[in-house]
Formats: sequence, C-alpha cells, structure tokens
Amino acid sequence: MKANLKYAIIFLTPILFVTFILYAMVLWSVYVSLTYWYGILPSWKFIGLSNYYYLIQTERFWIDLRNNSLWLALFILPTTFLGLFLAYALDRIGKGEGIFRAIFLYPTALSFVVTGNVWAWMYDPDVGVLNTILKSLGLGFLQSRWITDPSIALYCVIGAAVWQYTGFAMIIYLSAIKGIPPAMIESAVVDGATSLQILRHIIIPQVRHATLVVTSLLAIFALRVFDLIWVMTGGGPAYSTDVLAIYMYIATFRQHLVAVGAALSVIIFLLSIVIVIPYVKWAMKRWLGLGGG
Amino acid sequence: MVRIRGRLKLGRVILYSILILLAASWLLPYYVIISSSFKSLRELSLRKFLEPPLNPDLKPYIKALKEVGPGLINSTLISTISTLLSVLIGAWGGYFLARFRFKYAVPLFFLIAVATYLPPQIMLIPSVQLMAKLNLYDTYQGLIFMYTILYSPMAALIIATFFLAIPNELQEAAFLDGCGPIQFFWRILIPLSMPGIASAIILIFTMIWNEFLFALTLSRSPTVRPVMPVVAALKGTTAAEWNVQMAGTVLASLPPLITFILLGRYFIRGLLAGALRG
Repeated sequence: MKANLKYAIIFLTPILFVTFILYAMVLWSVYVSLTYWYGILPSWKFIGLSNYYYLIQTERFWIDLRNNSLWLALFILPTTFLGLFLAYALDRIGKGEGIFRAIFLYPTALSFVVTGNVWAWMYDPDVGVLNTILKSLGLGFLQSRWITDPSIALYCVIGAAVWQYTGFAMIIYLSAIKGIPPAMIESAVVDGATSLQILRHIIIPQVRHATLVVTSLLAIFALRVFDLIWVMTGGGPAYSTDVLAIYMYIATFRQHLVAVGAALSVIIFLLSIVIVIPYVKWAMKRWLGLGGG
Repeated sequence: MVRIRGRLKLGRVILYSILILLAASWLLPYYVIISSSFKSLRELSLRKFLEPPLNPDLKPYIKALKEVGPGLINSTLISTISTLLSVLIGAWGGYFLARFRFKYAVPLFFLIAVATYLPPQIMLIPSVQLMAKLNLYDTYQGLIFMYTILYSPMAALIIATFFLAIPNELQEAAFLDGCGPIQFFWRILIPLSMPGIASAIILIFTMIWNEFLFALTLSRSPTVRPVMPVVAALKGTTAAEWNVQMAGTVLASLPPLITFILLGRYFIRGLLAGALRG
C-alpha cells in the first residue's frame, strides 16, 4: 500500500518522537563525555577528549576491558554450545520436549537481580549451597571460596549468566532446527549416517544463521552486563569482576566524575554498535525481507 | 535392523540421562531458594538444602512482604502502564512501517531496530538530567516516561514482524470497502494480531518488571521505588536473615514466572521476534 503524508504523520509521530529522544540521549552522552562535568551540578565547559585520555591512563579501565573481553569469550562459547546441544537433544527425544524446554527456559524470565541473589546464595563460601552439597557428596576437596576468591570470582559470575541465558540460545536453535526439512535428515539416516555425523554435516551448517543470532545477542549482552555483577560481587573482590558498566555507574554516581562516566558509556556504546549495526542490517534482510538486495 | 534399533535405544537412554541431569541442575538453584524461603533460621542453619522444609514457616514471607510489599505495588503499576503505552506506540507505528510502502520505511525500521539494542548506559546520564528538568525524578510518571521511551522501539519491532505476516489483500479489500487505515488498525488488524500483541505485552512487561539500572537510578523513596532495587538491597536491610532474602527474591520473581508458566508460548514468540528472528 502506498503511503500518504497525512497518515504518515498520524501513525509515525509517536514512535518517531520516542526514537528521536533515544538518539538525542546518545548525542547528549557523547557531549557530556567531552565536558568538564565533575560534581553534582552540570558543567558544559568543553574539554575535548581529556576524559578519554584520563580513562586510558587508569588501571581500572584496562582491567574492565579485559574482564569484558573474558565475558565475551567465556559467556558466549558455553552458552551457545549448550544451547545448540539442548535444542538438538530436545528435537530428537520427542516425548517430554515441552517440559524440558520450560525447565531450561524459565531463568530467561527472571531478573538478573533474582539470579544474582540466587547464585550469591549458591556460591556463599560459608553457609552456601554449593560448598554444602560438595561436602555431603564427599567432594569436600572441591569446596572453594567461589565469588570471594579473586582468582575465580569472574568465572563464577559468568557461570550464573550461562545458567540464565542457555535457554535463550536453546530456543533460537530449536526454532532453526524445526525449520530444517525432515527429508534431509531422513535421507541421511537411510544412508547410515550416525547422530554425530548428522549433527556435524546437516544440523550445524543448516542452523548457521541461528548461531549468528545467538552469538550477536549474547555479545551485546556481555558488553552491557551490570545488574548480575552489581548484585553478586559489586565488581569485587579487588576489581576481579569489575566491568565497564560497573565503573560507569561508580564514576557517575559515587565518584561524581559524571563526564568520565559518560565517556565510559560512550565506549560501551561504540563497542556494542559495532555488533548491532551489522546484525540489524543482516537480520532485516534475512527475515523481514527489508533492506536492499 | 535390530542392531540399529538397539543402538538408537541406547543412544536415547544416554540422551535422556544427560537431559535429566542437566534439567535437575537447572532447577536446583531456584528449588533451593524456594525451599529455603519456607524454613526458619534454625532449620536453615542445618544446611540441608536439598530437603523440603520440615514444617513450612510463613514468617520469612511476612517479614519479606514488609520489605518488598511497597516495591511490588510500585512495580505492578509502573510496569503495567509502561507496557501498555509502549505496546500502543509500538503497534501504532509498527503498523505503518510494516504495511505501507514509502521511501523512508527501511531506514526508519533500521533506526528503530538499532534503538532496541542500544546499551542502557548510554541513556543513563541524560535520563537523570531529563527527569530533573521535567521535575519527574523519583516519581511514577518519570519511570513510566523513561520505560515507555526505552521499550517502545522493541514493541514496534516485535509487533511489526507479526504485521508483516498478514496478507496484503486483507488491507486492500478493507480499503476498497471504504474502511480507512485507522478503522482498519483497530477493527481488523489488532483483533487479528492478538497473538503478536500478547507476545509483545508479555515480553515487555517481563523486561520492565525485571529492569534494574533505571529503577535504581531514577527512584529513591519507598513509595516510588520498583521492586528490583529493593530486592537487591535486601542483603543490607535484612543482614543474616537469609530466609527473608530468599522469600523476598521469590516474591519479586513470581509475576514474570507465573506469566511464563501460563503463557510460555507467547513469551517464546516474543523472544524470537525481539531477536529479529521473525
């Protein structure tokens, strides 16, 4: 249907207004990051890139960048892998698919605050669940200080995120696997292919687009992660679980280095947008038939 | 043939065992907090986490309700209103984007989709200033305003993907019968797209209910503050009363969880559409 101007204005004004405010906020943050705003009251004095320069000289910034990179690798890989495995398994078992799907997916409906509280209790070194269970199983030597041990705290927090997001990866893969023509798999079975061969030569290549969806969205999450860490460790001990988003909040609202906080938010934004833009372009073309070509 | 069947059967047994083991470990954390939330502190100190409560105790819930009760009310109001506004704005604009052809449709869709995935941090400082300028800091209206702005693009995206699936002929026929776009939207499109609208409502309600960063930043007083920042602070306010913390955590997670259990199908469709996975 061809559009006419009157209806374009009627229908698009609200969503355009909203979108405009969002992008205006992005520019606003960029501008704040170039000012001399340290303290409660705004200061609009323009100082160029000094805040960014300040950041790259702090050790904390580099620790956070390293931790966010670890998140990217150690969160995305297991979540994607487990999600694919579960989707493949659930598609094959037939009976019980629905109940298993619900069990793996329910953490997706929880808040990170809830997940954080739950896992803080699991990991608590003195009265927590994991250490207690390990001890009662006679595996006491596996007991650990978990989130209070700087050398493993980061992995523990990432573990909680894997628990929460595996179901999400699974559901994306499951819908992709359901889209594979059954004849393809049947003929492979007739030819005597093993499950592993089917997985490797048919399923994985056929769900490549789902892998792109899952890894992109998990990466976008790994760059902005805040709540889970805030609730579980607050970034500690000794910055071992600190990430850019935690530093951003602390710089802005605790240290009142608002311009530095803004600079950190711009860095998070730039890192995300590198993934978001190609992803959206690709997804619009792939599934909605929108976009050139 | 027999050998193949035998092999498949064994494979199935192994597969089921792995799945059951994984499912148990996925349920364990939530099971433990539910069962702990019904235990007295004395029973909790026995640290028999896998066992259900001996004599279920409601006191942790009564105490927790005192802490998180106002937050639950605030969150109910804020999440419901913001969700409805976001879905209304999203559906209204999504209709035009999905069903009309015009020069800027694709770039506009692109801008809205990118806005959906912006990291919240980039909006945080401006939102505080905006709330201060509009005198909306620490008010229901302020949080509703921000959430509506943050989640309308996602609503538009989800609903537009559902609208795109509706055949063009339907709209053409309706227009030939003298029905205008506004009538078409309310009388035909919305009733036909109820599954899509429901998916958007459920997903966005869940996201706003669960949101933490803006809830924490834009509210201060107990009469406004949504439940998640309250739950996050329970550790400080209830000290070593783990059972109360667990009860509060369970209470705060119930609305999305019950919705998920009852309407999981729509939640999943919303997730897929929100991932732009059509």
